[in-house]
Amino acid sequence: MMRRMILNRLGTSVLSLFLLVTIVFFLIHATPGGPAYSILGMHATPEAVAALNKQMGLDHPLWQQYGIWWAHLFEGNLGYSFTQHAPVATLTGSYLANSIILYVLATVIAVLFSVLIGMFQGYWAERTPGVLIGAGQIIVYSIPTFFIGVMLILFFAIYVSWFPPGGIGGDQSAGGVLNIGSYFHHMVLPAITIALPLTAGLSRYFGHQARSEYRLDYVRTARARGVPPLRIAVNHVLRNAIRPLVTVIGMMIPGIFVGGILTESVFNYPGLGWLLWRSALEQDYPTLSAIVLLIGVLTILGNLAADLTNSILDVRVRYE
Amino acid sequence: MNLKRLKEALLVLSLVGTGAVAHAADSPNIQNGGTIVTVPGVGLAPPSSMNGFNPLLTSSAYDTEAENLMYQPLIWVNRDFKINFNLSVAKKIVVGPKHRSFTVYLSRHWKWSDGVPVTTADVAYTYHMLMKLGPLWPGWDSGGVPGDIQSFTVLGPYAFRVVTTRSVNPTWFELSGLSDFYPYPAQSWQRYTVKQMNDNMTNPKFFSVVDGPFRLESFHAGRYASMVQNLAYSGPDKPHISRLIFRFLNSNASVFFALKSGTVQLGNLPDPLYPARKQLTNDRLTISGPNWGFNYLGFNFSNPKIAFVNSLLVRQAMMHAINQDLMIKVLGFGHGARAYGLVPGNPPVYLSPEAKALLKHGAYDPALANKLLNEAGWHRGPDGIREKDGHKMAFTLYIPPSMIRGPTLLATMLAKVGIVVRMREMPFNELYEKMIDPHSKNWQAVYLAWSQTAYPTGGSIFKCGGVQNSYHYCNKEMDAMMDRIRITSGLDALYKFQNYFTDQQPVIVLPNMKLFVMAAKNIHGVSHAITPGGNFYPQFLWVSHDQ
Amino acid sequence: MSSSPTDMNVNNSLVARPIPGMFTRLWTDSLRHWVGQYSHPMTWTGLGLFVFLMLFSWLGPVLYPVSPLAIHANHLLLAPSWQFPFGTDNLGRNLLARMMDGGQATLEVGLLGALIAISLGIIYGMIAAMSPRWLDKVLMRLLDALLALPAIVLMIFFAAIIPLNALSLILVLGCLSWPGLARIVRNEALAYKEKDYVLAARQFGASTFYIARTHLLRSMLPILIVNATFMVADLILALSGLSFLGLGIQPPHASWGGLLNDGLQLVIIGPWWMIVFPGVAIFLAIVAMNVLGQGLLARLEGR
Repeated sequence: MMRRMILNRLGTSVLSLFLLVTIVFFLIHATPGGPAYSILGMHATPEAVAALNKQMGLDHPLWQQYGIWWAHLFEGNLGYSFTQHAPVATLTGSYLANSIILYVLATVIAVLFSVLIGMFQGYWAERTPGVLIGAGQIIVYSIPTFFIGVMLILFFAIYVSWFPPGGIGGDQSAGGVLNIGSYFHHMVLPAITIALPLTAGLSRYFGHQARSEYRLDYVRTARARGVPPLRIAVNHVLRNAIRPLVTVIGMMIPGIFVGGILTESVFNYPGLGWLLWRSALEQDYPTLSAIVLLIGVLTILGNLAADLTNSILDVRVRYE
Repeated sequence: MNLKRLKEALLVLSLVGTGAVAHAADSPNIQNGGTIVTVPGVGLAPPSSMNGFNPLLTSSAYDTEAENLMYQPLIWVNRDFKINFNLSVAKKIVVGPKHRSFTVYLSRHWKWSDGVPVTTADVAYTYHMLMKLGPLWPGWDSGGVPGDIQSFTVLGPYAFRVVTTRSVNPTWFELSGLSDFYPYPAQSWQRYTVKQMNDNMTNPKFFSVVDGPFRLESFHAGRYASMVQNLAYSGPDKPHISRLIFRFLNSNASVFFALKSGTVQLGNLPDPLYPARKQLTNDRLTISGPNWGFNYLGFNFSNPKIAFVNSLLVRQAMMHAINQDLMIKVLGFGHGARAYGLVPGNPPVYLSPEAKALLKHGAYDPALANKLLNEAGWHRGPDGIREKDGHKMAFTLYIPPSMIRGPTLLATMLAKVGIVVRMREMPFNELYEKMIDPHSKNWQAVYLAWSQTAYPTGGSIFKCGGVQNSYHYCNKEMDAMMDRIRITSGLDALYKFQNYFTDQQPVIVLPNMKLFVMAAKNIHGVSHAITPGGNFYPQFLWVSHDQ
Repeated sequence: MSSSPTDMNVNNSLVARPIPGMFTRLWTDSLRHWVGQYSHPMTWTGLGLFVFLMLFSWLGPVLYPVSPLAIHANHLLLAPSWQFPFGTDNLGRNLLARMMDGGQATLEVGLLGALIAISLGIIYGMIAAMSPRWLDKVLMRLLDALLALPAIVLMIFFAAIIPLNALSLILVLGCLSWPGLARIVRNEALAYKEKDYVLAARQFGASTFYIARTHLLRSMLPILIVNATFMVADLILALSGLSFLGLGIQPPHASWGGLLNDGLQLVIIGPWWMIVFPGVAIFLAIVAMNVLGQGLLARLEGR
């Protein structure tokens, strides 16, 4: 029964992924312009554009290009980016490596703080501390990401020099040896920038959950009986409140990438969000398709995991 | 946000040059060694990234900057646009009596870093590759290449001869045509196909054989490229620094932050941030430029909706309606220069006496602009907008991202004389597509810039049917003048052409701003290292360690 | 008000007949009931704040008829003064006037964009909920695909083919935001579909459309309104993010996000007025909507 559900859901997820990739493929190819103009810039002449388009394989009909892309994909070939002069796999790989750690770090920070803040908010709901926390959440949520980024740079990298004002760590060492410390040093401010809005929203959610838990009869009974508050918090409230954690994180994934675009732009951080933005702007079709595929896979997997966890944990949920 | 302003608007400059006269070697205090961290485009354009180092295949001015450090040019042009044969691979050029044959003799001391001497085999390799690449090579169809070339013959390991189809202006051909034939390492590259070269655009191992002062050490996508001194460099002016790093930044604010925190020691101070220059306490300001190019407002002459631009009086009126001094004051904080023609003024070696006079006097005359528009039959309607036969004088101006202030100012000035300008901002590639794609004829006006060649003819841009003439501008008289420049020697033809151009204003030329270069206080030689041609010569920089 | 057969003979005055002003009374009564039910200090704060911002943007230019486009070349980057209450930007334009102009664009995009998103979301979600299982499945898979789509790609596509002014941004952002709402609508509709009174209505022959409109919609209206308020806030934030990336309102007009971005690019020169005013305006708009939504939510949950 379980296996059937998983297979069923997996099948439909693949359908989603396929739809996503197809929509994006046709959308980006339909956008006027084309990478030839990005590459040639002012040197573009109709002749040069035609020659370059031929070189890039863009003179085939769109259906054919679509088929060729899938065929290459099954061979494991993600294509070649003519605007960045590198195979897409290598390009995406290096930018992805930079981003993944950053995004994971940001998510971990966000989740940890959200749960903590949420617990406090649930405990002190409707009393002053709870209200204050609620106000704080709304305030932080209402500040645009790039504003946070620039302010952080200004205060922590320019007025004082605690952190570098951007870029990624580990460079300028003579042999190119990665300096782990420098790497993380460069990640702090961007991670905070991504994590802050996430925390605001997520902690509000957890606060909500926690408050519902705290009002449940058995919890109130336990409190009345004098069970230490910490034990109540951890054993009862926390356990139940974080059950939807996976769902929520799964749904946050596209949002993390979008936040990533803005943050990486502000901090000159060479990550996937920035690459997505650049390749969309330059109409670097192969790279763009590959990144969208990647984000799609991650998101849909996230949703899948969320749904499955939900249905396992709560048999009352209607499962199609 | 990526600012690729002038980068996209510049043609590849196939020339390098600097004044090697007051040479740093005369000063006894020069210290060797050290690393300088900079950004691509110093003294040239807003920063961006480099992403390819093969000069046969790249067209970005940032890539060219690095390539010029690795490969010594056949013809080195200094900042006054004269050939410096000490720094050229060519030793001497003998021009035949009919100005059709150019025999080039190479210096024998240039060597590749693998020990192989630089010979005509390398020049021949380049020539054949360029012919093979055709339109894929950005310099195609300009400077007389390939149109005016009849034959290319190797005479020996240190001599070759190019014969042109007709008699040409030797200065023009040497500076704009012959200079394309950089020697590239044939022994190293011959065995690769074009596809293989494309796959290795950023691989330092592919570029290990060089003859210039620097070679590529490493490349990290999105982060930086590092170059080190080429210890086997066999020419004069050996570099003093041992390492040069180009960090890839993509916004004005980030350049400033990097300069302030010392992460970058040499970079451009973005124009809008000029008032904050005092905050860069560790840096010294060098004002350079304006650069060798021109900004302009261009029109699509074949678009019936803006047929009014075909009228000479209207174009001249626009020229007189623009207060260039105000633009320089607002956009460049007073640091800039007027410009009315396609021949840049810094250095003024090609300016005609009339051009010099006009630059001194200025052309801002709104009363004259109004008069000219009235003469052309365009009178102000009840709302102040010029109209004629039921049509209003208005156009849509496409502008590249981040170039908003200039057009906004421009729009205000034109509005004062009754012309309405609607702005539409779009990314560069989209802008070019709308302008250049033969199927797309709807564009009306663009706000862009051209960089000029070392001998500024503007041939491929303004000729009838020129490959880069997306304006559909066609003036037979101007064509004839441009042609005369290419075949007669001396500057008279160029003077006559530029005067006519200024009068005709096929594009409305706009003022040129200077560039603010910030360098850390312990970096010296900055003014030698940057030329108005937009070239960067880090071999003239040195770092003092005791500060 | 119907009378039972036994009452009929008792007193004629008890028979229902139209009273003048009856409908108005019904209307104001139910409005008062609703207001009473949902009244909450947060609701009023949020609403009041937002209305204030709207008045600033639309009434402001009437009271302060200064052009936001006029360039004053001798007054670049001036701090606030009597002549320029909010200061000037680096082209010498009056920031107060620009803020009013920007406010119109920003609030328009937020409100109308949310309206479009809700409408599309309701339609799609209802269709999915009320249709047979297989169709629902397909529609939800399509929705998953749309939700995973990076909006950036779509934005660039649209930016390439249409000029980005307030109207096109409203349409585009509305079309990008509806999937999230559609999912909520569909889930809520599914939950309510099985309720007793709906089943009863079906028994009485009510059509699907009638049920959808009358029962389901009405039940989920509070949830929708709450989500709508959050959506307005999100759209305003999204617009400011787009301005940062260069995909916002076309020059020379601006949105608050665009003005904030202009200020941030120059932050190192220190024109605090170019940052504080737009920043606070965006902040207030979002806070207003969030607080409004929170207030409604509180009442919904019976607090």
